[in-house]
Amino acid sequence: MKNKSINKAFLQELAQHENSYVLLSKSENKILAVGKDLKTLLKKQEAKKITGGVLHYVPPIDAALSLQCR
Amino acid sequence: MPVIKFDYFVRPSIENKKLIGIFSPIVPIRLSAQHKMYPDPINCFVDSGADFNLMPALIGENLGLNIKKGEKTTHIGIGNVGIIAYKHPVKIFVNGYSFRTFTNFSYDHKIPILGRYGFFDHFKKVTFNQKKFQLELEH
Repeated sequence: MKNKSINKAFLQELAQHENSYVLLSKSENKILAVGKDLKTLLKKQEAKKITGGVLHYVPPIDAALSLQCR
Repeated sequence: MPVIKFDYFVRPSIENKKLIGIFSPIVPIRLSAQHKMYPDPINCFVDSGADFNLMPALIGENLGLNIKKGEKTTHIGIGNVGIIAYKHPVKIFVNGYSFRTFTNFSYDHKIPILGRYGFFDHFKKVTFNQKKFQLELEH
């Protein structure tokens, strides 16, 4: 795989939150909030009044993704 | 023709016990339903193998949808594992481009997915540019 601008520190940070929802900053290199499930993340967001992020799910890192839903 | 380009998102994965980055076609969309906008953009996997859009049910609930009132459908993936989902009308915004479509919502699914019917079919051309690690959406 080509090594095209991988932010290793951010990758490691994301890896710590596998199988969780995170709220990323718009520049996508900072995690603003984390929740094991979406409900927890939304509660944290509301409590801390965090806005302006991007909702992102971090899949388990030791599994290949083959989504193919029909 | 207008083309929206997104750099692939680099997500963490493990290969030979080492942490690596996998370049993935993940794009941020805005989602609305019943005239209510989900508060944040949602990163979604663009999945050419998926027939339909599929989102976690809680996203739909946050938009005020009564999820189980939607048309019931079953999504089957790898290994023939089926999950129940419910179809609802939504509006999707991708950069400055928006369209009315349908999305299925499931309580058994975590990864937001954009599929061929409901997303791809609203573009003239969808290109997975593996050389540039870019997704190109022509509309």
